[in-house]
Amino acid sequence: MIVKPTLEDARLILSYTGKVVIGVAALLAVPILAALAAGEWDCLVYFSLSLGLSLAVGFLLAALGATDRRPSWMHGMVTAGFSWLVVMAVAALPYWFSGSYLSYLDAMFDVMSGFTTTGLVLIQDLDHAAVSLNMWRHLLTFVGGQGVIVLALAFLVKDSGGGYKLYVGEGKDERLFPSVFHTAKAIWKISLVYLAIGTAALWAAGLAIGLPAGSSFLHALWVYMAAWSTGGFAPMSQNILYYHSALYEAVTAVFFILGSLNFALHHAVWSGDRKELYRNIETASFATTLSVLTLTASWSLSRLGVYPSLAGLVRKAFYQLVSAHTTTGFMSLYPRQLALEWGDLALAAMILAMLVGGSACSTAGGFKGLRVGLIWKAIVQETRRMLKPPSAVFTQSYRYHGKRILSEAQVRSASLIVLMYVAIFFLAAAAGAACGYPFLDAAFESASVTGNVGFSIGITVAGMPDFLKVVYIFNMWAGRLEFMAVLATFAFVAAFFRRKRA
Amino acid sequence: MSPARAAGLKRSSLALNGILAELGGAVVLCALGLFLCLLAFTLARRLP
Repeated sequence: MIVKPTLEDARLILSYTGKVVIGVAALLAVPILAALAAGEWDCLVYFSLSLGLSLAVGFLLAALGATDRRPSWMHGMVTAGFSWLVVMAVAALPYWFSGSYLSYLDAMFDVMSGFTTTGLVLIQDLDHAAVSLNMWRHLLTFVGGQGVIVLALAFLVKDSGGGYKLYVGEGKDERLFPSVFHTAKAIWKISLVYLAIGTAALWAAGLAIGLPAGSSFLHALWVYMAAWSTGGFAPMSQNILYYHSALYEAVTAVFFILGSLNFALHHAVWSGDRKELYRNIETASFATTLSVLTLTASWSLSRLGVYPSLAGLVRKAFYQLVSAHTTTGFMSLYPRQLALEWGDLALAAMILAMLVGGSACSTAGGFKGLRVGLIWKAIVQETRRMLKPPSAVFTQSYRYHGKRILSEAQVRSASLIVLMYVAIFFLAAAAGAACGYPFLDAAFESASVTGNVGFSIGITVAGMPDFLKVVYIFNMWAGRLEFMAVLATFAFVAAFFRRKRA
Repeated sequence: MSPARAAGLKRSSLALNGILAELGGAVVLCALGLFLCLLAFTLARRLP
């Protein structure tokens, strides 16, 4: 049982949450400018209204909680968990005002899907959505990939002492520099450099397939933002299938693979340590699981004769699989094709790929290649222990920015997080089944929300039960924050409202 | 200090080298996917 928090603790958390909300409110300047440029005057009104309301909420929270205290680990974790919920409610305002959603719950679902870089959508008539609304959707997913709190740390909170605790709470634990403020800035630098390169590459690909210059640029910007953040949003309801282009698919694949790499790895490679790219336990783990799952799914699809040509197999099987494994969720087929054509084995490979996910401290979700690698090393160590004499002493090492020794604490932490992912995956799958969906379909959709992927087998539509929407929102949130911040938030709220014992 | 930094390379050229290395890595991974699909495709057709 934790110590009952004081009102002062709650004020500190509210203060930092207020700063995060102000950071997100400032982002509304981007869709406002887009609305001005595109002459979307009704959008300008509801984005401006949302800006005013969000700033009011942000400043109110910051003022209510104004305090000189520095945050502890508990404050950092609870702020990370709590601020994601507040930000979800605030960022859903423009969605709700736009009239493109059937309910406020649907709008919040899409915000959580964007921020957690999941990519599932409940928006109505996406194909005719306003430019500014699309800008907001993709900006949310781009910022969510880097981390909402990383954004606030880089531009608003310069107090690096307490900032690190918020940063870790958001599921990132690599310090590229001793100061978390510089680390957050480095993460943004890497993302913005690739934003320029990726948008240019997709713009060229768009022009090559015959899109008009202006439209090609906007599609390139939005699709790039969703690719880098492994988000999976696209401006058209058919997602990547809309472009019917192998070139477009190849360019997106390159950038979502890059987005799923650890920011510490990007930083190491950019600083000249290129060997780390193929020595790192995460890239080795990712390449291994991707290879095994690609072989399994393509073999199954070939046996079923789903794709009679090799080109079709690569474009459909490998693309969906790498999109699932990096937790991007870009689809180049219709959702129901997965359920009706792919067969159980290929779907099982997709579910595993979605659950494993990309790298730790990246924009990707899932339980991460690092933890798969560490657990694999622990299995090897235990096997060696069994085969050697009881008196033998040995250590198991792995490569992760230099040689490291595997410790019991790392294995325990990795196993617990994987266990919790699997637990909420089964719970959401059971919830889907309880709502009447076939279990394999429910498991597929559950893996997609838990791993923050965004693939849909057809369950996620506006008409799905509200109960299932809430379960999916919870799984996206818990999966993105890797549980610790979520558990801390629940424990804090429970302890805060607990009665004092006589 | 990394070997490249020790050799006195400029910061900007280091980033460019890094970007090219990463882009190359992603392309190699896609090529691996192509090879694995070919392998699975051939095996599925050959096996009874």
